[in-house]
This record gives sequence, structure tokens and C-alpha cells, in this order.
Amino acid sequence: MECIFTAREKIYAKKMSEDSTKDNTSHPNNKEGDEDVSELLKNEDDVTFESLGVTEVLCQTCAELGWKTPSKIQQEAIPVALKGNDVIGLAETGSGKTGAFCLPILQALLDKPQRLFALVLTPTRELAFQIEEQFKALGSAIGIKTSVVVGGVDMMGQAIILAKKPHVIVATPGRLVDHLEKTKGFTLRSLKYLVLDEADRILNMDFESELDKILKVIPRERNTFLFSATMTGKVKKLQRAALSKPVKCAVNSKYHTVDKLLQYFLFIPAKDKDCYLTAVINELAGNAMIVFCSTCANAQRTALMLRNLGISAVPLHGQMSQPKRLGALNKFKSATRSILVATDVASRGLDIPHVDVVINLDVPTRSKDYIHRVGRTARAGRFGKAITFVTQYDVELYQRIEELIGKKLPAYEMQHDEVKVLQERVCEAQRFARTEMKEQQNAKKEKRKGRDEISDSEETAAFGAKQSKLFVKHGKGKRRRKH
Amino acid sequence: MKRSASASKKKHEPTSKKFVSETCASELTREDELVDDDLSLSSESDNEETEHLDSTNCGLSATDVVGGFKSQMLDQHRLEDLERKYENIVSFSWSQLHTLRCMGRTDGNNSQYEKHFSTIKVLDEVDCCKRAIKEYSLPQVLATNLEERKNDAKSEKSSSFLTPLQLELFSAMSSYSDIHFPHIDVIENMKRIQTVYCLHLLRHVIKSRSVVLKNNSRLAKISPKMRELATRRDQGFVRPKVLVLLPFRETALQVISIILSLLKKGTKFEVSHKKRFKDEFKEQPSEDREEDEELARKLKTKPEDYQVLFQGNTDEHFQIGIALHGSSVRLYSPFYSSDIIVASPLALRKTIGEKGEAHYEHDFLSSVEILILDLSDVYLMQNWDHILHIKKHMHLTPKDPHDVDFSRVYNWALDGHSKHYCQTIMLSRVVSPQIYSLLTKHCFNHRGLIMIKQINESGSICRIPNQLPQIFHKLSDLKKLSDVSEKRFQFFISHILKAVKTNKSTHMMICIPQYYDFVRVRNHMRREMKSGSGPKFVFICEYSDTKTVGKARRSFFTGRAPILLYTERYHFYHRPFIRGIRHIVFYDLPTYPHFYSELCNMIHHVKTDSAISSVSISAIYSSYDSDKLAAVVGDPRCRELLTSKKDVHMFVTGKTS
Repeated sequence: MECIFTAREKIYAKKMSEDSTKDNTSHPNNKEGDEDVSELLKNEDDVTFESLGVTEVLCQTCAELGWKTPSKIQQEAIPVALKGNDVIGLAETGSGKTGAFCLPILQALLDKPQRLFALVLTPTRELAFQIEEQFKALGSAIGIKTSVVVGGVDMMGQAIILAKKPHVIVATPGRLVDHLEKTKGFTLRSLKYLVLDEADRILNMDFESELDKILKVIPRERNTFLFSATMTGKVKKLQRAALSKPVKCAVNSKYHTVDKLLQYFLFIPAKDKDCYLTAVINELAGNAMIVFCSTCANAQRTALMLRNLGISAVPLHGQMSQPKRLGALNKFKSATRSILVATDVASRGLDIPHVDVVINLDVPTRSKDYIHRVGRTARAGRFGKAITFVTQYDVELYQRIEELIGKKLPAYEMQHDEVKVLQERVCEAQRFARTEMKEQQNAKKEKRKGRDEISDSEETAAFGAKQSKLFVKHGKGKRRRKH
Repeated sequence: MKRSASASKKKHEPTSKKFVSETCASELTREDELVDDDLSLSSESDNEETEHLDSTNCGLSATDVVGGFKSQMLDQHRLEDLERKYENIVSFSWSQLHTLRCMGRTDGNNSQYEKHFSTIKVLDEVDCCKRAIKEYSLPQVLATNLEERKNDAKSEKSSSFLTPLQLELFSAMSSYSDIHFPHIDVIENMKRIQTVYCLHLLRHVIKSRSVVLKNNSRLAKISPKMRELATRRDQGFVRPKVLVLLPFRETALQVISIILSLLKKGTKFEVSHKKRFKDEFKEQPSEDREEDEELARKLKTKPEDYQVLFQGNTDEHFQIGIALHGSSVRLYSPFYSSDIIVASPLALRKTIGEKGEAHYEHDFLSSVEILILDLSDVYLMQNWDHILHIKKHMHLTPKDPHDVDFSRVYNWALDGHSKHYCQTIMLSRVVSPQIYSLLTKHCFNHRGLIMIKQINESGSICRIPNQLPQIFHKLSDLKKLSDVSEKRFQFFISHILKAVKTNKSTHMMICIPQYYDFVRVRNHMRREMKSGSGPKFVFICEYSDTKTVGKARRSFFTGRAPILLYTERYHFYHRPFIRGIRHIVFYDLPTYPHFYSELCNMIHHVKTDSAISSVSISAIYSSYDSDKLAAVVGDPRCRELLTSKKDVHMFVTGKTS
């Protein structure tokens, strides 16, 4: 592994030098750039999917998908998994985890075709859909049937899909237990593979009891893959309960961000945050960006403000309904909107290959979240940029992050006087955004009041109060959060 | 005269000709009995009469028809629309059912029909009962009961239990194609045909049930883990497999009795809720006994087919689930645990409900594999919308699982293809465009459709024994179907009503089948009457109460009101004998062809020798009415009427003096 690592570092350095000469704003998603990298990799590195033991059919599909070389976690996990061992994968996000368990499962399925073969458990609905897509893409050549079992969808329709006995089920634990209990004729007694993706998060989301129930009804003779970004105590407990003689595949035991990620910080006064955001977006125009905010309200407001400035931004946060969330994500994925303004809902697991820049508008309170946030970019061998806005109030938080990742980040270069020019227009946009927010809130309130009288309106009032406080306190475009 | 008759005989197979003339003769005598007592026609005179009609027909063809016409003109006309959907059509000629027209919905090969129907040869002297048991592998219960029935039948010295017609129909049904049989006769063959479809549906239910039970025992034997892998898909989402739609409680009583008699199995046989069933479905006596007797006496005076159809309990609102368990049968079982649902369209529609209503339930219709519509012409008189509503709610994906074992549900049901696996058996007394459209637009059986057509050479017009001139007016220049009602109305006003005004004719009945047409004509005439330009008139429709009907009939008989507007639906439900008719105008041809002759025969009272000019019958038809026209005047004459260049044709029935 060591030699590969060094090889990669070399390429990284080469790419860096190329990058600096290139125009910074050019879209790194273009194919030529990609091929350059893979060419380089090929020369330096002779590890291929074939050499890992993946069969020809799947290798071909990988090639068609543009997967030229396996990522680090894939290199480690696939040979172990193909031998039939249980795997614990501790890997950084965006490192090709999904492929690491997809390929061994598909290969085992090819050897011994069987319905209801594998179950993948993930914490969120978005992730479930994403993993299913991966399975479908990789299994397209062998005619694999997959289905997603998540909440928020009609039970009967899902029961029908499950009755058709797909090969792979990707599910969130809650709804799967629902089906195991209520849907007659659906059992997982013949299951051969279980994957626990983002296990730490599954456990954090209080899916423990559901997980226990599922583990009880599936056979003991099975292969289990457990993937987690962190190795918490709970995960260790789960590992003891669910896995037998696992092989640990840790790419990095300490928290590390991906090598190809360029991280910067930008130290600015809190009142000029929006101005700088606009300036940065302007400067990096043409790239796909995710802007992370700490609250739903702030995400919504920022998205509205950017829209008022004529920048196509789309919000994604927990206050949105499931279809809207999916819709927003799809808009961003399909590149009809180039900027996603999100809360930490989107910080984990989501694989959107073309994210070029991550901007932390608010410094994350939990330092681990930083890793996840910046993990959205520089995925699958691409290059990415992360810029963290640090204000006078966030210095301590920021230092903690630097400690965690073990790096001192360089400052992001900006022409400060150019930013000032934008101030007037940004102020105006902020004002518009605020009024729009208020209108939306009022509309929501009335709609809810109409539906069910007391319980919900209280909730909204509480939410509204919280927000209005935020605005009263930081009027005139100043907006910050104390930690 | 004789030559023409024999020529037409040559065209068709001798057997078919025999069948037609036989039924015709029997119907004629029946008709005569009810029309008048002093007119008694022997079968000989009946023959004479047909021949006479043939002669008029001959005259027509000599003058009007230019060039020859294709032998199957009529059928082609109708099938043009069908062919768009059904790419391949094959015809079979059978001894009892006559023409079987099989239409495949799949690719261009008809091998499925040829394979199925080549096994059945023309049957005459074969023991049909034995054959049915042998060739269609009837379940044991049905076979023994059938044999027993046959023995009973022999002891009673009636004809053998399964007639060749029944066997042929059974064979067609067991091909699981959609079937359209429009030649039910309530007196002749209704009960026999009910027996055939009961046999078919019971065979289906028992067989599929036995498959499920066999699989149950097989699955119980193997280990749970293997059970997971073993796929035995043998059921739909819900249990009801067969839906039988019937018009009246009395018919339901008959059909369920047949089902029970076929399932009878020694002393062990149990039927739960039998008493409740008998109580609810038999005739409900009213409080006044005299009133009952009065009604019974009245029924006796009605035509025979009416007596058969409207005897007993004529309630149109009923539904009942039937569950088969091994040796017992459970009546009134809840829908979700019954195999067969017997219901009236009205009741079923109420159970389904409307979208948006609090009660909206269609899951129990999601897995129907055989749909039987018996006497579907009666639904045309009741409310056809109910049928469409039911059909629209069949084979939808259920909203709730209803405790179904999903690992056993058919793959095609999961994929939402149930509608392609449902056999529709459509039995009716008449052909009608509504029925056709239901079969072609709302049925999706992948095995295609079999339409049965018996040759009708004479038509109901031959059942008019009196000398009556009958004028048929054709609506010409029709571009599309939606023009017809407007053209018809204009023609009625400009030709017929105008003539009425100038001739000052009295005792004229205007018979209008459709209620909407009736309302239009009535409103028009009312306007004219009020303005003083039109004649006085009375009307009888299905919504008139007894008092107004009595009043209208009296003033029509006395001549105070020269014109009577009359709807077909009223006639269907009451079949009165209206006195004092001298002229009849058929605004549109009646759905039931025998109403034509029945109404014409009401004219009889006028003295024949002097009255030839004072009686008249006129009918309006268009090229879209080919089915109705064929039923009234017979197939060959219909062909001439439709193809001839002239718009007015006259027939004279009765003896030439």
C-alpha cells in the first residue's frame, strides 16, 4: 500500500503544478483533464480491477463507467471480500466505498445467482437511492434487479416490488423492519450478503433496535461488510454482534481529508460574509459548488439572496419535504443549478461526482462535520477546493478543526477592495431575501393552521420566533452565530 | 319465389339453415299466441309467409341493387374498426354455434385457436357429457354430478343433459378467450347456458384452488430456508377469482342453485346460510295477498319472454360472496374470503363507490380471472354506466395487502398485467354497439376474443302475420357517428312530422328507443303545440307514473290525442298492449328486434280489407344501425338496404289477397 500511496502523491504533485498553470476557473469536469490523470495513473500504477480479482464482465462495466483504477479502499477491501471474509472498512468519504462492496457482491451473485441476495442498510433515503444507482450501473451488464425500501413511499407499492424478489435491496432500517413485520411472504432467510453503510450514522440515528430486529431474522451464515467513517464505541459493539472474524481495511486510521483536496480558509469580518460569498462565487463561476450553512433558515435565506443576485442556487435542508429534497438534489446533480445551499443534511455520504468547490459559510460546530463536508468534493480521483469562512467569532472552532486534520491551511487569496464594490448590491439582495422569507413563513403558517389547529401552529410559532430573533438581532445584513 | 328461397338455402350449410328456421318457427308460434287468439298459424302458413317476404325482397334486389355485393358486406363493415386492434381474424364454422370469429390480440399466428378448436370436430351423435368430462378433465365432483344429472335427465326422458350446443360453448369457454355470445333465448337456452358457464367457472375455481393446496403441502414439507428459494406463484392479490354479474335476484337464485347442484357431494355437503339465501332471493310476498295474485294474473297476460325474465324477485340490488371449502360451500362470505362474487351492477357500483367518497373500495376486483356478464342486454335497459364503472375499477393495483402472501402472487399480477389475464364472457340476447365497445375497448384478454354469430335470415319482420306496408327511410350523407342524432332529428321534423301535419293522421305512435332523443322530440313538439302549429300529443316514458300512463293511453285510444310518444325502456319494463294504434313511426330501430314485430302486431284490430291505406309503419335507419337493422329485417335484406342507392324501401308483410 505504501508504494501506491507515494505514487499517488507524485501524481498529485504533478497535477498540482499543472493546475497552477491552468486557468483556475475552468471546469475540472471536462474530459481531457480526467483522461490526463488516468493516463498518469496507468503509467505509474499497475493495480487494476482485474488484478484485484474482479471478473471480466464487471471490469468491462467499470471501464464503461469510466472507472479506470480502483480507489484505495477498493484496492484494500475487494480482494479480502472476494475471498469471502467479513470486512470492516474505515474509509474517508468519497473514496469509492460503494464500489468496494458493490463489486464483490455482484461477483458472488454471478457465481451463484439467487434472488434476495444482498441487503444494504444506509441511514438516509438519499443515500439509499444513490447506492441503488451504483448497483444498477455496475450490474447493468448482468441484468441485476435492485429495489429501494425507504420511508415516505407507499407501503403497498414497495411490497409489490419486494414480492418480485430483487437481487439487491437497499434500505433504511426503519421501513425494512416495517416490511419484515407486516408484509406477508417477505423474508430475508436466504440472504447472503449484508452491508452496513455509514454504520456510525445508522447507530447515531437511533436505528439500533431496528438493526437488532433485522439481524435476528437474517441467517447467521452470511458475509457482512461494515463501513463507517469513524470507529465509535457503538460501532465496535455492532461489529462484535454482527461480524465474524472481520478483516479491517482502514485506509487512514486518523481523520484525514482526501489528498486531492485543496483547503483554504478566509478570515473576514462577520458582517461581510455575504459579500465575500458573492465574490467567491463570482470568482469561481462555472464550478459546481455546495455552500454549507449551520441552520435551515440560514440555508434558505442564503439561497434566496443568491437568487436575487442572479445566481442559480437551490436550497437543501431538513425543513423541506422529501420530494422537494430529492428534486433539489436532482436539479443540482443534473447541473441545471450549479450551487447547492445546504445544511449538514447533505454533509454525509452523498456522492455528487462533479462538485468542485465546497464553501463553509458557517464553520461547523462539530469538527468531524468538517471532514464530511469537505468530503463532498474531490471525490473519485477528482480535484476539489474547500474554502472555510472564518469570522472573528469562529477562531476557536477553526483551530479545533486544524488540530483534527493535523494541517495548517493556507489563506485564500482575495482582492479585498474588489469585494467592497459588491456591498451595495448584496445589501439589497439581503433585504429582498428577508422579505421573501417572511412571506413564505406566513404562507406556511396559514396553510398549517388550516390543516390541524393547535399542535402544528405552536411548532411553527416556535420556529418562526427563533428565526425572527435571528433577524432582529442581526439586522442590516449582518448575520452570524455565536457558538 | 321458390327459386329464391332455395338459392338462399344453398348459400349456407344445411344444418345452420335448419337451426334458423326452427327457432324462427317456434318463436313465431309463440308470438302469435300472445298477439291474438283467433289468429293461429300453423308452421306451414309460417313458411308461406317467409316465402312471401322473400318475394318482396326479390323485387327489391331486381330494381335497386346495381351489380353484385360482397357476401360478407355487413360483417366487414363492422369489423373494420375491430381490425385495427385485432390484427388477425380466423373464422370457424361450427354446427351449433355457427360462425366463430376468433380475433387474436398477439402476433400474426392463429395457432392457438387452430390448436384448440381442431380437437373439437362437428358433433352430432356423440355423448357430449362423457366428452366434456374426458377432454376438459373436469374435477371429480363436477364429473359425478354431471353424470348424475344425465341419469336424471334420461329418466325424465328429456334430451340428454349436455347438448351439442352446450359442449361447443363449453369448449369455446375453456380456451379462456373473451367470448361474445349474443343469442341467448330466455325460454330456449338460457338455463342451459347458465349451466355451461357455472361448469366452467367451478372448474376454474376448483382447479386453481387445488393447485394452491398442493403447493401449500409441498412448501410445508421443505425447510424454511428452501421455502424462500422455491417460487410457487399460484394466486392473485385477493381471493375473488370469478365475478358474475346478473340483472335480477331471481336470476341469481337460479345461477347459485345450479352452482350448488353441481357441487353437491353426498351427505357431507354443507351449505351455510342457505336459509337466509333462500329467504332473501325468493319472491317477496307483499302484505296484501290479493295484490300478489293480481300481479301474478297480470304477468300471465304478458309475452312469454317477459314472464320468464320478470318472474320471481326482480330486485336489482344484491351482492353475495361464495366461498368454496373442500366439501362445504359458504354463502354470504365476506368478499375478501370468497372465490365467487355474484352481484348486480347497481349493488357492486355502490360497493365500489366514487373516487373522493369516504367509501372507495376496489381491491376485491383486482384479481378477477373470469368475468361473466349474463343477460347483458338487460344492463342496457338498467344502466350501462354501472358496467363501465365496474370495468374501470377492475384489475387495479390494490391499496392494501389484505394479508396476501406476496411470495405466492403471480408475477403478472405484480407487474400489473392482471387485465390481460381476465376472461370476459359476454352473454346477451341482442347485439349492440355498447357491448361491442366494452369488449373491444375495455377488455384486454391476451388470448383474444371469440365472437359468435348465427345467421339470421328472416329477422323479426317475418313475425308480422298481417298485411302491413312498412317503409324504411335511410339517413344518407352521414360523415361521422356524432352526426346521426342531429340528422335523425332533422329528418323526423322535415319528413315525418310534416307529413303528419298535412295528412292530419291520428292514432300514431312514435317509438323512440333513447331517452335523450325522446326528450328532444317531446320538447320540440311541446313548443309547436303551444304555438298552435303542431298537433296535440301525449307521451309515455320510463319515468311516467301509472296514473299519467293510464290517462295517456285512454286519450290516445279515443283519438283525443292523435300522437303518442313512447320509449323502448318503458316497453321493456311493462310490455303493455297499447290499443288504438294505426300508424307507427320508429324514430330509431329498437334494441330488441322482437319489439318491432310486437308493436306492429298491435295494429291488428283494424279491419284488414279496407285499412291497408289507413295503417302505416315507417322506420328511420342509418348505416350505423346495421346490427339492429339486420335483426329486424334479416341479414340478406339488411345487406341490400345498406348497399342500395335508394333511400326509401318498402316491405309488405302478410298474405297477398
